Amino acid sequence: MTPAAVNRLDSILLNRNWIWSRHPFPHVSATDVFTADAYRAFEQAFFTMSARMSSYLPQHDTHGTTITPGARGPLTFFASRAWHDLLAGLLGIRSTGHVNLGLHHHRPGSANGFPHNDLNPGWFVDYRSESGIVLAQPDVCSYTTGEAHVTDTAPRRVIRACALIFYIANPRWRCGDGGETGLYKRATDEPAQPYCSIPPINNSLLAFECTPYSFHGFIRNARSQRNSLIMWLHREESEVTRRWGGDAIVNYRV
Amino acid sequence: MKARQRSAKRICLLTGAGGTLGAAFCRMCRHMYNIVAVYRNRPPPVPSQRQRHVDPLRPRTRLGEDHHPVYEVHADLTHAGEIERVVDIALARFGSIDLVINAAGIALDAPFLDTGRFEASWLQQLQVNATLPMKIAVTVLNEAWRDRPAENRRRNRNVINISSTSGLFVYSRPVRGAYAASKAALNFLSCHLATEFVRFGVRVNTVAPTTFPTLIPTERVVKAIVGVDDGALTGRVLMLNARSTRML
Repeated sequence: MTPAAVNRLDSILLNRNWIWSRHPFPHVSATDVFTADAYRAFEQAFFTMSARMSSYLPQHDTHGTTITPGARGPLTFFASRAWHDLLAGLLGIRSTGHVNLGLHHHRPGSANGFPHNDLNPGWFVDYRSESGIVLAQPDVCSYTTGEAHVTDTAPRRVIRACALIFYIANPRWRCGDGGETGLYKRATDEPAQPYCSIPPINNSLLAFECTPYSFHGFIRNARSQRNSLIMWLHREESEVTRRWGGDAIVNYRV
Repeated sequence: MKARQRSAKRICLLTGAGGTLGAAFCRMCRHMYNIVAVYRNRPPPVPSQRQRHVDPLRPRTRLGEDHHPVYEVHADLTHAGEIERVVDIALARFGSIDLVINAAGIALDAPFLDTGRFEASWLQQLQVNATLPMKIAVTVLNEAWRDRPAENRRRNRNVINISSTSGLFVYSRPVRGAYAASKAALNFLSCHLATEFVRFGVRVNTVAPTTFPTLIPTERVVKAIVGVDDGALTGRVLMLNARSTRML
């Protein structure tokens, strides 16, 4: 990361004492991540964009939207080279620069998710980018299947390398509200009985490398809505195949 | 918080370490105590044998904040055998226990008129908020303290149960009756336990704060706990509300 990028990030990071944990799989969590001004700007932008959360993901019982290359406003910070490099450096990822960035909204009473590892493929169409960051463009090609919606495009398949969940625009969280992200030892664990859980407290985050063992899932939010910004960096398929074998890659259920 | 003059760190078994109070105690006091931090849902955000601080801008640099790690133990104390396992781990790790802080607790909303829900929440809160602290204290007594009254007095060994002013006063919160009664039970059980533990040289007290951090800072509750541990009283309830601190 360049000194200029470090300085820029340092000016908006409120807390640089993040926590790296080994169990049940390596992950990083942090609270009070950004300064109050920066967080407020992100939250306001979230509310503005949340009106566009039209797509419904039935597997996860959540509504969402993708932040695409044409987007403007504070949330594009998360698509910056500086933030990308922070995340890649933190988790020791060699990323291709492909980023899927989006917003999720779970309505109150959304169903439990299921333990899954996010070691999935993602499809992108490369475009000219000064920063080298290439965002997903669902209008051009499906992120999950690679199906092109525009002629003369050449979708490219890469694999999720790490995931970030930034909790934002939520009501004040209390124990018993649900909406946590559960972390599990096994794919067969009960969704409501995680090894440990990360509560959706505003301005906090969870990040982890996507491996065959990074089992996590949404826990039913009984009382309040649960909102988050989600983000994946990607790596070459050959690297995943070398480390864990090609059959470790989890294709989406269609 | 300033480190007290002690020849060695005291050994503290803390339940509810992942909660607001437990995490604050770990953060503020890990330089003063060897803490066995027992949690169910999430570990306290402090360095441990499984966690370390990381600077996101310099992830390869070791940070000074990693000194004085806690020893975290993941357990659901409502499951059979878990209390014994946790106490065994604490003794295997540190050889003895000087202070037990029962900070694990739950607060469930349940109106009386919703009979089924009320009964379930009452039994659950009675178990976690009142019965478990007694079982933990008695297990530590049987495993570590029972035959050492002189050593217990010399080490000023004690149990601190975390209650609430809800167990002392009737607030007009219609859905919190079961919670308040479970905390009232904890207050009385603690006082009676203190009389039984006197002959073993072990003190038992209760700290009963109002809502933190909304009405009082969590740090004030932590300081009160350390004060009770440092003191000589037993069978008392230390009430902390927004205006005053009172020993009952």
